[in-house]
Amino acid sequence: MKKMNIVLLALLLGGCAQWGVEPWERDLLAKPAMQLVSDPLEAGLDDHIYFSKEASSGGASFGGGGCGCN
Amino acid sequence: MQLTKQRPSIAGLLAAASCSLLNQGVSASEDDKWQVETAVLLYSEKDRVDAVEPVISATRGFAGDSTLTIKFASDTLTGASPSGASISDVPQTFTRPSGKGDYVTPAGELPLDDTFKDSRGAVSVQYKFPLDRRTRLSTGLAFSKEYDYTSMALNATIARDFNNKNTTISAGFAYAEDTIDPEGGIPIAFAAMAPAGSEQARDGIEEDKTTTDLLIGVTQVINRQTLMQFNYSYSRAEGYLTDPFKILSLVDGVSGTTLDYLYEQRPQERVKHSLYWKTKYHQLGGNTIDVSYRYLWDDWDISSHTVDFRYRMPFAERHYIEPHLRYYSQDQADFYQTFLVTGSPLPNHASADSRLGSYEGITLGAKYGYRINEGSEFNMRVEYYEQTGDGSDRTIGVARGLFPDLEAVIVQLGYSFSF
Amino acid sequence: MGKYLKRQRLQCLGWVLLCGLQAGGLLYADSVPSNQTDAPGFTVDGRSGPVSLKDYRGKIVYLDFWASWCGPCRKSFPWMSQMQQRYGARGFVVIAMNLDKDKSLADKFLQQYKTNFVIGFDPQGVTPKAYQVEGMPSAVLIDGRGVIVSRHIGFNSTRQGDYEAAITAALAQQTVNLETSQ
Repeated sequence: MKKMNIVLLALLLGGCAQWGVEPWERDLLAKPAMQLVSDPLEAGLDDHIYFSKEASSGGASFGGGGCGCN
Repeated sequence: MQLTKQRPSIAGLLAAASCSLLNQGVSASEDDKWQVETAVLLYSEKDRVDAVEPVISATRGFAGDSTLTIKFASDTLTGASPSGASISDVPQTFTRPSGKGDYVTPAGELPLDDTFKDSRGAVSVQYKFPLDRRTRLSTGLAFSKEYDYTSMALNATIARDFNNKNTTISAGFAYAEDTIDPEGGIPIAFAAMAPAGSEQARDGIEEDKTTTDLLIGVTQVINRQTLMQFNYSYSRAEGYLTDPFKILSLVDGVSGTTLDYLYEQRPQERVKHSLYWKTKYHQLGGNTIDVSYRYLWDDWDISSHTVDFRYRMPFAERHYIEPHLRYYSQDQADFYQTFLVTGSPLPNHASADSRLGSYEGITLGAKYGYRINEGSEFNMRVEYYEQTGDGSDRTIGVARGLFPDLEAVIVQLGYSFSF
Repeated sequence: MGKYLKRQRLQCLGWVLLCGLQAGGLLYADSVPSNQTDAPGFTVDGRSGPVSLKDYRGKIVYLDFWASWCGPCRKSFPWMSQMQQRYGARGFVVIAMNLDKDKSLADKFLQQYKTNFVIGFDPQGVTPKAYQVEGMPSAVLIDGRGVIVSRHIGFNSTRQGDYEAAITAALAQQTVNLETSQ
């Protein structure tokens, strides 16, 4: 079982090395719809509703993705 | 009451503040131009609370890739929300927080408190700038005020890219100080509600609360079409966490007759943790999937799952439609009680606030957007939100402690432009 | 020469040829272009016929990698037009290499910006790979001998002065090179 885990982990980490794109392949990632938060105002309003009506809040959203320009 | 007395979570503030920290899509603000976004939220619960919340946010870019965002929001609440008392077989009279008047709930109905009609104003400022080609800093301040509640918060986030900007690690911090100054003063914990006109059980006129939030996240580009994010957050709130307007019915253990109404009491500290995972996937046909999952747990024994799914479908070049489905499930706080029973000793903490109970919430809706020109868009969404209790109901005799199922309609209109 | 030695020499030559071919390649894909190395050659489609780097031998070439989805690229276009205007007569050429996967998006972008410089289209992304582009946009300055003299990643309006200074320095050096070679 432990060996299996190590093998899987190695495969996963090995696979990690393949993740990512070249800087000129970020056309889709640059689109507004592909940003982590596509509509900040809507996210803020939703946050307010659910914070008021539920006992959970936050957890979401930080930087990354996008066009990666400059 | 619930929508006013809680200022927006600073975790939410932290999130919103850094949401576009590293997103530099084509719509990123250009120098000399203000990008303005406006929206108005209309929220209406069946037989309960109504809220109207307009928001305006303006962002300007500066040379050197820094941006400044200023946001104003206001919300007005009307209506009534459950006070925490349970349903009984006789009419029930409750004293208003001021101690000067009362209101009556008919027999067999859920006691709703409508003594609040409140307005809140909030302003926030966020400044983001690069430290170098792969490091960015975002920092901001927020302030909100309503009749009986003041909140001030600050936040700072740093983000660093690795692997040719395919991996981004972010760390953020937020701190908030709130003061509550409720109508009639701070109720004494577990004291009985006194009749209108008589002296009310109060101890002090205001209380404070501080909240500290920390967030660590990794964003990873998987391939040309896929982006993922993993975050861990920690939140610690200290001080007065009780809702001064919420009560519990004290009932007879056999007949269920209501003997008294006691003010609730929550712990002086709450530590929350959450794990969050989001995936954005752009189909080659043009549609985008946005799916996320959050697991949260805290030291009040609350745990919750949130699954959110959005599917954006652009059509006819400038339009899009985006259906939305959200599922939420929560396990109650360990001190959550539908009502208190005489004979047993009073617990250290107790609250009948349904927000702390066990329930499921479903949101179903759709959003429509129209891009007028570059930098200008109109959008509108209509959603239905419902909460249904999930096992915390309790009945003894005539005392019915039922989860107050919620049904609400959410409408939002948005318009953005630049000048 | 004995048969044995001849075979060895042939084998050796064979290996050298193979290595040479590998290293060369059609677009110098394996070269490591940094400052003071040869700029990898290329031939791509342009707006009116093919665009080849070798056609601009003897000129100072500002090779810019851009795409319609890249915000800072929008800011760089007016500046590149200005540079082309200012230094064109002295043997300066801007080649703006478009990397959009969807050429129609590039065409739409070009309709918005008047350009007085050469545009190349490389939707497959062969040239940015050969030039080891690290970020969008990127610019590489190539002198008249086909050598990379400077490069920068990103376009910041605050650093326009620096970008221009690199161009004038290359032009000045070009004049020196021409004089010394005469």
